[in-house]
Amino acid sequence: MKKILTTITLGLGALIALTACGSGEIEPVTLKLVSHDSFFVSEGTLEAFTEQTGHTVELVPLGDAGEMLNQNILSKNNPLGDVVFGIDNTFLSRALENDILVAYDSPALADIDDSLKLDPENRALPVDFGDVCLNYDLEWFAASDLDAPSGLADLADPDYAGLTVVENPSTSSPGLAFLMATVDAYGEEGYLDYWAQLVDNDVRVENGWSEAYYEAFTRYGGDRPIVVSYASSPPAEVLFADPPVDGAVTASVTAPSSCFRQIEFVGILAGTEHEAAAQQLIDFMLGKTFQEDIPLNMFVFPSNTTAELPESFVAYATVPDSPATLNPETIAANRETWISDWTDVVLR
Amino acid sequence: MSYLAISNIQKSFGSTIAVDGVSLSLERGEIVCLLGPSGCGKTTLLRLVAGLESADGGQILLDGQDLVDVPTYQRGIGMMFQSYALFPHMTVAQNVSYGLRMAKEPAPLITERVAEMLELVDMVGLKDRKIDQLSGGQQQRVALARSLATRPGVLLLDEPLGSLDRLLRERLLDELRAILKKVGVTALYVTHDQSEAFGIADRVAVMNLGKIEQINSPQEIYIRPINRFVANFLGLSNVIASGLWLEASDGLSQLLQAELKSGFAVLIPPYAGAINKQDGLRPIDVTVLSYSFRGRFALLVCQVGEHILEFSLDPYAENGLMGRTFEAGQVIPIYLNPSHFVELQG
Amino acid sequence: MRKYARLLPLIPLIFFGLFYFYPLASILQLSFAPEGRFELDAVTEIFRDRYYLSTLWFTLWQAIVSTVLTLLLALPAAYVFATYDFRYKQTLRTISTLPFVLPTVVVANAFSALIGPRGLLNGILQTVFRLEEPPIDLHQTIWMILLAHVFYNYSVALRIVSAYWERINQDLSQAAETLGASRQQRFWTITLPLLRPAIMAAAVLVFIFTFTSFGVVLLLGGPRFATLEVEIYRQAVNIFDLPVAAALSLFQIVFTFALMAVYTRTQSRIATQPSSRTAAARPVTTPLDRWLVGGNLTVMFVLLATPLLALVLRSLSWTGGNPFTYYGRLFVNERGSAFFVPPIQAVGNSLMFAGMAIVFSLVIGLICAYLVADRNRWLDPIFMLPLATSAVTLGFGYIIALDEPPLNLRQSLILIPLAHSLVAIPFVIRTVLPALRAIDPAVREAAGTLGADPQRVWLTIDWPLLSRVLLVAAVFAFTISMGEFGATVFIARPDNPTMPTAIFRFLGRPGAVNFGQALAMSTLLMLVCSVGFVLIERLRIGDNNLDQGEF
Repeated sequence: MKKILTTITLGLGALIALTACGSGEIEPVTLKLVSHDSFFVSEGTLEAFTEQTGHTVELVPLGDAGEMLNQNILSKNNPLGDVVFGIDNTFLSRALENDILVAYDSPALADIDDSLKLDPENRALPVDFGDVCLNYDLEWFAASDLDAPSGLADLADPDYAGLTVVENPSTSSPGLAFLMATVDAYGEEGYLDYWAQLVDNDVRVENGWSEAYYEAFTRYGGDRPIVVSYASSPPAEVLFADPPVDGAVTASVTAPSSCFRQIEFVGILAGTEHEAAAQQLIDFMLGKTFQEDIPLNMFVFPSNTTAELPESFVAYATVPDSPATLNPETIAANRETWISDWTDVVLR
Repeated sequence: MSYLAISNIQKSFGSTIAVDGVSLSLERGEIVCLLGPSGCGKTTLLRLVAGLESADGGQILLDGQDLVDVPTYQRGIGMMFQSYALFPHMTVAQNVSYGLRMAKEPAPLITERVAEMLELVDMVGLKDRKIDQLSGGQQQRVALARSLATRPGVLLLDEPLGSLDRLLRERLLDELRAILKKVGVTALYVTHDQSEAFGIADRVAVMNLGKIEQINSPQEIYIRPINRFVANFLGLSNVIASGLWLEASDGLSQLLQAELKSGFAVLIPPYAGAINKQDGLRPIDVTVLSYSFRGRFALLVCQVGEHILEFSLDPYAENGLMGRTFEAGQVIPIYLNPSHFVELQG
Repeated sequence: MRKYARLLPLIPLIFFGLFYFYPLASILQLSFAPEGRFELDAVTEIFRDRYYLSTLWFTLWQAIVSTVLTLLLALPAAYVFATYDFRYKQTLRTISTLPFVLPTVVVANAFSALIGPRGLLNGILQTVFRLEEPPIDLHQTIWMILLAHVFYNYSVALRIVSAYWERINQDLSQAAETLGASRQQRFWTITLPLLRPAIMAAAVLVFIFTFTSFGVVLLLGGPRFATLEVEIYRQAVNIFDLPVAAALSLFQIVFTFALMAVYTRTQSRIATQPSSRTAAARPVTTPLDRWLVGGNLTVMFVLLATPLLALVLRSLSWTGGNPFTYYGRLFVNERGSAFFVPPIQAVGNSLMFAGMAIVFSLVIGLICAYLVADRNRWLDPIFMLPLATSAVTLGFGYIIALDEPPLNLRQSLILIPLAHSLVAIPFVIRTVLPALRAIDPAVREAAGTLGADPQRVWLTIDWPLLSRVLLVAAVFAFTISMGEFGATVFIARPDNPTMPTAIFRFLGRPGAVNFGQALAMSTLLMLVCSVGFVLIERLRIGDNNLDQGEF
């Protein structure tokens, strides 16, 4: 029943969009899509939007996710674009508190996974998600007597001493996500004890994902076979293997309470002069064409449940059963405390 | 009407008056030398004529045309700098042809003129040399050739021999005068060296504190310096202030009281004394302080009363002087020629 | 025409006003006075909080130690380059600038390939000495930071000091020799005091680079070390505490300004003293000569070349197939990405921005140099300030300041070369000033008396006399622009990446091919820069002796 309703809504939405376009109610405009610099799409995807609506999309990348959000806040009186892509749940409250987004109850939300919808007012609409999980080097563990880790607890096991590399939560977004996974798993009372155990177990901390992955991880000449990365990294390792491989070379630990789900949102920037066209772009980005293009470009999962996953994702990426999802208010209220307490325990 | 007429020109730097109402005229083809100690304003005056400084007041007329509002590059005045200011990134020929190229002269004329100029300064074989491969004397020649190549009506020379050693300087001096006379250029020449000024100039203007003290031919200026400053600057040191001889009773003072009517300071030139008695000469007794043979002359330093006097005696003309020595403390008679005495103003 | 020439000083003043002071003032105002009233609590806070004080202290001492180490290593090489004549000397000196263009994240990889726990050196040592554990572990130690700082700044010190050393009057040392001074005594009593201005200038410049160090400390130092610049970034981006970020930026600017003032004073002394002629370099003959030249070239090879070579080796595929796989893959748009840019185009973008940055920074820097030389010495430290200003602070300033027409430049590509120029101009000024001051004013006057109007005086005298140092300045502007990442990433369009942004894009994704392509692109970057250096060196006009530029 729900499905039928959805189809009708979607159909209506499309119809409205089409008629709107056809009757010329919305003048074709150029929309500026503000994003972080990891935004990628395939050729033809945004052109499909232009074909549907007549609007063209100009991309405005603004550095990494934090830099992008802050620039949007600084420019809220004179926004840098019409639509923003890539505000994530760890920074969502900052965006909402600063009123940089306007609400839009997109009909496309009907197909979006409800667990991803963190803003009841629909100012920020979930567009994709990725799970930050422990990744490990399959080859390394095959050659070792040790079993691959099965959850967070293993990392504190002395057998796993000196095997893990994580990112600094104060400078890296997967680092922050993983810290939150531990907060969720061990509670606010217990997570620091857990980290103290990791320190005793010689955990290595890098400031950025690139250094952790490409320097410390055993796949790239480092000495750590366990690295904090994404649940979607294993399919990327297969796709970008050299020489090509038949099967997975890395895997992620997706046991309950071992991952943190990063959800990315799109939204309409307050102050846009093209709100109606911006709504169409939001609809498009939540729709199937764009959603199915997401995985192989940005290595995250589509938020639209009807979008089909590419083969490599089906084969090599595991979606964790019950990843941690702290609500944005809790995150906003505690982020700096968690980071500074973590810094005291792990780095000092 | 003079070819270059400077009248009442004025220039200050802040509170320092560099050139204080100077007037000066040069005839066509004349070489005038500005002589004076450093800081007397002679270089500033030169730079005013060149247009490298702008005057606070006064007039500079070149062939009747007022130069005050004409920028340097349109004045058509050549200049030789003390440092030569040769263009280090150009060859000898390129340096010499620079002014012609700026004037957009046709190429054949440039080639011809450069050859002519290099010939004039005797640098024919070195036209493709780099500037840093030249000796000081050669650089000086290039600088001269460069400044003459455009055939300027007036050539300004700012201590052009100042950075050369003495021997070279003397040799080049005559050559320089010969070349200037040959091309017939009107030249204003700045130096602090008296022998250089006398060697090159038709007329010498002695400058002090931004003013011209005296201007005349070298000979006139030497035998009739106008005042104590000019006398001293020309190395004429036997100046006796009026207050010192009017009342004194030594032999010299008595002589001066008898010979001179006015009460001004007086210069006794070093050539005014002799050791042998001659007609018209007036003897005074002096105490020898030192005596030395100097080649062309012999220098006697002596004392009479309060005054120290220097005399250049001529051992070739005076009988019995060659081979003779005087001891310090010895008292001898010196015969003075009062007609050489110069009464000084101020 | 004369009237227009008088307007030229307005160009740098407008440039610095619009693209430096106005954005900086805007962000400082927004940070300190969001409600219109100034709240300076953040400024006092940074002097009360122990954490910030210890950050200040660390920033200061690591910069001092880095500077001393860089000078100790570079001075002997400066002597060798100033004294001896050997093959490829000029090329070696220019190529030593290469580390400058490499993004820190790439250099971090190079060092880890070389001296990481599983790097080349540890591998060799472990095999030779049969060790269980890798003997060298500099990872995330202060040594790693110092090593990287020396790696980046060695050529700066080498180039400043050797250029000056060449021009120290040999007669003085020989005079001392006739007075009975031994070789050692001559060095300590004559050469070193004469060199002091050059050493001071190099020291202050290296100090400022390391004092404001960001990437090296963040990526190689790891999470336990933070300089002011790192902390500013963390406060501005991660925590979004603008008042604290602004207070720290302000402190950094004021501190460096004071230092710059000292520096420009030593710098003007430098420019007036040395002779304009280069002493003739002597050939390598005695065993001592050979030992000195060989020793220093070895140090340079080990310090500068081996990490770069390690990078090149890592960019090749060692899995048996075509070793140039990753280079080949650069040219293929396998995933059909709308953002795929063939490497030629990235090279093209980089070269285009670098070309524009060269033009902007040479024109503006040259005018600045004339202003400074023309008795406006107080301007010099001001022109140097962009070097000391946190990039993220200024970047945020651009966002809020340049948002209204006619200055709505926030997303304009022209901002990329303008931002690069802001960093390159201090280098241009430092390079041009000494040569400018060495031009005898009488030479220009002579040209005037020969009938050249002011424009032609400039064209026929200043231009050729400065052309050599302008080329050196162009090398610096080129290098800075080619390697710059921070400003570019704010502005560059995804379909318009430069080589460094392309490298970062590859490094942001997992997978061997992405990693390989990042290193292949880094190697290409080095290659393009080397070719650029050689071409710029080739441009040298004439061979005059007035080329004593270099800072």
